Formats: sequence, structure tokens, C-alpha cells
Amino acid sequence: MWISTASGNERCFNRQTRSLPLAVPIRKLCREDFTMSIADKLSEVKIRRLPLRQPAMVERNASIREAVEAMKTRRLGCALVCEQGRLVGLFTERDLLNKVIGEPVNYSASVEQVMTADPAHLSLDDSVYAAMRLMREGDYRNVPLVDGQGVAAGVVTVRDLVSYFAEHFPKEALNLPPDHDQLMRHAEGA
Amino acid sequence: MICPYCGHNNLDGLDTCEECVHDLSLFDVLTPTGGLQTHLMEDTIGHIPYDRLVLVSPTDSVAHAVSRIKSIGIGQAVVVEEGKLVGILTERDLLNKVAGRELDLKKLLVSDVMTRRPETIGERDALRVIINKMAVGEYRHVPIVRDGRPIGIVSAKAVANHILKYSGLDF
Repeated sequence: MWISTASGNERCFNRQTRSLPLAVPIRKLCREDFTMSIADKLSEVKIRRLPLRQPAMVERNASIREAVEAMKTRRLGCALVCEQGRLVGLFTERDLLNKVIGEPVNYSASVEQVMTADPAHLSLDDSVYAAMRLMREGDYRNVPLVDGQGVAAGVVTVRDLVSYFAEHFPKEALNLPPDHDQLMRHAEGA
Repeated sequence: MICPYCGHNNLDGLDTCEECVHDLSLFDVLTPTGGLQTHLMEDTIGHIPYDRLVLVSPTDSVAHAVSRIKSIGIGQAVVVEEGKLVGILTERDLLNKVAGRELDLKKLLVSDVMTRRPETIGERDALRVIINKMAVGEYRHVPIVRDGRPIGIVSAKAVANHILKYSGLDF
């Protein structure tokens, strides 16, 4: 069995070892994984069940520099701009590229000048499918999430979705032979 | 996996059934059963729409690279030297290494900011290979190379849209 590591190197691991050295945890496969279609899963699983990261959040009167620092700290491509907890805008890497870098804009200016106001958003209880649809229709990479009271609660990114697929198809996506064209017809050593 | 002889639920990857010691190795070969699984295993990177490429040189200024990226309306440039891929300049590089600092972008070189030797993929690799690279390595853009030369770039968004297309939900 081969495991691809984060460094891109593949290594063989002893079949007797019962812990998988994986960056992304694998659930134990059971029969439901093969019988329940991905369509069912995507439309039933709520976004809140994904392992979302802590969002980068700044207040409306924060500077662009503060938003950039928050994004760097959280290692995210966007910052939620809030006013007393409520989502009022989104500042993304694309906004940074298009409106700040190479433009005569001071980093101490208010983030409000360069953010996208009233961004399209979803609730934590919307489905993973809703997030995929919104990302495709709006050509977004980040979708802010709010709770039942409209309070900013997180962000779902396109990378979270790719990780979700990898987890849904662990045998296909996370466990690859070193040579990807190689199909194993026999077990190792046989 | 479930042993077809005795029904015992074994750990995945075992060569023999822990209960009845029957050989399980022949059942361990993964074959697609249809639907999205088949697409994951048999579709290649060539099936996914590539993003347009912006090619820059490592000795170009960041200001030049940024204006090229903006004029095309995408988020990254591929850095080539004598036609060969040497790096990638993404929005994340600009966020981490340029944003918030008082730098002269006309003097700053692409080679100072780019990510060197990025993970790459071949156009004939299967969809599952790119999902693996993106999930494990946390990449959003992976250049497609042919003989070391970049021919396209595949984004996480394109992969997600391709999966949505074959998920059975897209009408």
C-alpha cells in the first residue's frame, strides 16, 4: 500500500502497521460508502460538518493591513468584514490583487474601501451541494457562512470541498501507487 | 474489507482474512464501479478545462507580472526560464510576501516572491491524482507540464466543478 505524503514523496508502509501516516484522516470504509451515492451525501451533509478552519475576521473600521495580517495568520485567502459580529463584507486575495497591489492605495486605509460589500453567503446549515453551486455560479473560491442570526460564523473554501471529495473517495484519491499509470494486478511480493 | 468466504470484517490492506486465513490479495485491486468513481479513476486532467496561462520570467519585475495577471483576470502566473517551468507566482505569494510591506514592485523580481519548483501534473494523469495532490498538499493551482514545459494550469475550482458535473446532482 502506498501513501502520498505532503512532500509529494510516496512511501511504502508496512501492512502490519495499523496506523495510516496520512495528513488527511481517513474514516474506516464501510458498506454504506459504496451504496450511498455522492449525490445523496452532497445534498444531505451540512456545511457545518466539514472540518472548517477558524475564519479571519476584522471589524469594518479596520485597516487593509489588519485584514492582510489576519489572513496571513489564519492562512486563508479571505477575511470576513463584520460590524458587531454581523457580516458586512468580504476581503479576498483577489480584491488585494486587483484593488491594492500595484495601486496607489495605502495599507492604513480602511478595508471598507476595497472589500466586496454584502457578499453572497450561506448558512452553516446549508448543504455542501449548495456551496458547490454558489461557487460555480458566482465563480467564487470562498463563501462566507453565517449562523441563524446572521452572525458571521466561518468560511468554506474550494479547497475544503476538494478535501471532502478526497475523504469521500479515500481509496481512489488518497492511496495512489507511486507510478500513477501503474495498476496493481497482484499484491506486493506476490 | 469484508471477507467473501466467511464475512469477517477485516482491516483494509490485509493479504489474508484474520478469521479464516483465506487469501484476500486478489480482492484488493480497486476497479471502478461506475458513476463518479469511474470519472475519478478514468478521466484525465485533459478532461478538465485549463485556466489560461500567464508566462513570466524570473527576472521580470513583480509590477510587470501583476499587471499581466490583472489584464487576463486570473490569479496566478507561471514562471518559465528557457521554456521550462521554474516556479509559480500566486495570489498567496503576493499576500504573504508583498502585501502590507513598503516595497518597490518595479525593483522587486518575480524570483524573490515566486514559489519554486511547484507540484506539477501531467495531462494524462487521472483526476484522482490531482485531488490527491490538492487535498494532501493544500494547493489550489497545479501547473500541467509536458516535458518540463507548462501547457496549462488546473485549479481547485475547475476540479470541484468537474466533480459537480458528474455527481448526479447537476441537471
